[in-house]
Amino acid sequence: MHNSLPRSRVIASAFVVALGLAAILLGARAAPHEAHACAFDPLRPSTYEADRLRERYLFVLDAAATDQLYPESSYFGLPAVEVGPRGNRVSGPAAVPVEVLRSIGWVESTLTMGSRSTKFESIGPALVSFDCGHGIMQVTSGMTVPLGASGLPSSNQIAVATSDTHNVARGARILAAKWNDAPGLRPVAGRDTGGAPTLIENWYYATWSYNGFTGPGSKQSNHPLDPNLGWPRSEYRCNGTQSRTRYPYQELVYGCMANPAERDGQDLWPAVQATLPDFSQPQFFNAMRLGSFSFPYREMDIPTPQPAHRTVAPTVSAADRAALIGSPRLGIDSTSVAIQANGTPDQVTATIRVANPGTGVLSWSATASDGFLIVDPPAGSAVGSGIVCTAAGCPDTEITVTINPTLLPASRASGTITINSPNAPGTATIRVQVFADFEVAAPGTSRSP
Amino acid sequence: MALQSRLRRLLRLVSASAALLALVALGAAFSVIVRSGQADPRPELAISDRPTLVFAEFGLNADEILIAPAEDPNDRTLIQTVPHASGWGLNPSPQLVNGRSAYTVLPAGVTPNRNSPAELWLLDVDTASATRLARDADLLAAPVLAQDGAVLAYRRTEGSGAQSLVRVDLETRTRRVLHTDGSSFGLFPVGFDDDGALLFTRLTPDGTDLLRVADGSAAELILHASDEIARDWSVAPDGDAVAFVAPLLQAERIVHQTQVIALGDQPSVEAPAASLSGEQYAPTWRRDGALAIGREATDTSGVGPIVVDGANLSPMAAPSSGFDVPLGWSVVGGYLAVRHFTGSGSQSAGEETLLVIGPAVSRVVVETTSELIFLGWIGA
Repeated sequence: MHNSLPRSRVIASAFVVALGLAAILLGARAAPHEAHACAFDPLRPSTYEADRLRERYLFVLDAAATDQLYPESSYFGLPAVEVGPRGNRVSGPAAVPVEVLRSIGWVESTLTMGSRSTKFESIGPALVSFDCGHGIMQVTSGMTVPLGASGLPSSNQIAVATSDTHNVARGARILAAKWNDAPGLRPVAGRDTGGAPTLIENWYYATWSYNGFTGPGSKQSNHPLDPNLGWPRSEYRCNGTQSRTRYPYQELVYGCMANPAERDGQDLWPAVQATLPDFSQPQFFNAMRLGSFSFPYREMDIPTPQPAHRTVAPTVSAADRAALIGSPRLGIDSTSVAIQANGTPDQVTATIRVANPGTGVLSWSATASDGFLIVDPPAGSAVGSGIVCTAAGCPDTEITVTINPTLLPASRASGTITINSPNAPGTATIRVQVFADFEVAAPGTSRSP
Repeated sequence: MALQSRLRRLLRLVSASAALLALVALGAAFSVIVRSGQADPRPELAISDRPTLVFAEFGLNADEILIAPAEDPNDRTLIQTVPHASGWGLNPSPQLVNGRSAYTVLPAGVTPNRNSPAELWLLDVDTASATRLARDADLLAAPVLAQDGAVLAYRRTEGSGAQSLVRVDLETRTRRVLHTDGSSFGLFPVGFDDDGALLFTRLTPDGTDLLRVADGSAAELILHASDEIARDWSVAPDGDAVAFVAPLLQAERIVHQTQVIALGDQPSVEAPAASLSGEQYAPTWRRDGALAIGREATDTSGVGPIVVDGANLSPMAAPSSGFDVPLGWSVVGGYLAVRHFTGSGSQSAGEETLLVIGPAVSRVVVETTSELIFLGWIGA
């Protein structure tokens, strides 16, 4: 039995308590402006950010647009895209125009999976906006609350947040679903061309709907004749020199189709000068009349704006597809770690490295068995062979395990961290032993047994 | 005893750590509040009485508010930098009033989306200072200032989805909801009439209505302005008339034409430029009651604005090609700022530049590599 408390132990104890207080204070400050909760709140997953020229992402977009990523999946595969005039729609091929899809990706995220702090060809914090938009396609649907068991993110949510292929595939599926909302829920563009989805101009309403099919005067209006949007408008140049404030969403997308982003003097995609509806023509103007904006929007059907442009379906070979998706495998560097809560700074945390001894991009999630274990990031990516990852720390991800001292059941406790992957087989379990030999107790600390 | 003593020491240490953290947090919070409430006040500028253009140059993450003499709009002075969410520039009130402008802006750090709550700021050009007035504004709805610059109105969307028009007394900073509507497509503040009541429009499936609401009173309909979406509203300098454009079918085309509503006991609508065919843009009042109206270009030549002064229609200096959309007259009306488009009309607008049309048929382009946002004029 100790007669005196070592100064280092007192300081360590105070340090732990102060860390807890600091976490509370910082947590309060970091709260988003809007009262949103996202799938991974309050932590943020990490992800792999590909090359600066977006070559990988453009390739992923090609594959997603033609349903060559996860065609068997009801969540990530494309549905059959309906074709035909109102009243006679039939199922067509599962495809969306890649020109529209990549332009949406650029408008949403400038084709990045990671946050601004994440360098190209590295692993870092994922791009998660305050309205829970995740990744390249800023997927919001299904990402606002954890949907998995025990209040944790589901495997689909993990894939959307950490895997570029899943994120883009999901965005493509959402776009296709917006198209298929016509004619029951949305108007038809292309009433004179059989609603052909191969004509880019016929995606006008689906593009509008990707950001919200909002009416004139609403806070989030994308109505092209909204008095709050400047008129006339020059074309959106997609080069960062014009404010988005004056443009409806669909014109941002059309502007980026016509004016490709440029890197190192090269256009990132071929320019397509898709035609917007001409509102000086009664057939387009009447569709946008106030009285027409009424569910199910039958009066908003429009002919195809001319000249129309046919999508150029990209070719993605089986080998290319296999290279994109790869064959990830889950690997970890240890099966047991220890945390000395009142130890040196090196001892108060533990780290676990998640590796991908396979190929492609591995998505993973880490789940703690007990509330006193905190894993950060809660999900992430690890890249395998064939994927360029040049920054420090690549190609693995490091999980940091810390403890919440206020939830420690005793001065010695143990728990497990379970690592799963939505795109690789197997599960890894890491045993975590916690030592917190506090001899005295103060509010917020554990008691000695 | 020794244990109790150690416990006291530990608790003192813990308390001291917590207090230190709390002090640091309070200091940081105070710093954030101070910095966000008052943007970078600068010493008062030596602004001449000459006509001076006030505008913002869009930047991806921050706009720069600049002033420049009308005679040489490229001789600019930076007076304020406005950080904003990436890609979303500020949205100013239509005109400066007594050196004041108001604008909505998405602050840096919020979701870069038109649906995010915007901040409302008041800019004082004389002191080159900006003050935040609210954090619940609708980004797309530009605020409007009263003729004396003492009051403004802005729009916000409530949690229910209803829209409210909010009056802000700039002297006391008090805010009061003037009108709330949850059944129409949207409300749009237009300006203030000569009695100080807020004029606003309301979009419904039946078209555009013009209404007024005085502080403490219920809103009243002035008239049904159009069965369609009427736009480009502006209030006459003395507050007794409003001008706007509304669509009509003309030679199998939809074109917008200027209309003027004389306010008063028996509001009446006139079309002062009905003799001019084709698309018209943004009727803009001069201090003497004349209107500048933009017109689309012809197939063969550029077209400048027309000035409607009573029964007289006088064309202003025309460009060699393209067309102009008026933005605002200098205070005594010697200069007109316009958006110049290189194309032929709404459907083919071409490139846009900010340009000043002055006396002696001069047209001076304000040089830039990015979008310019007109705020108004100061000086004579």
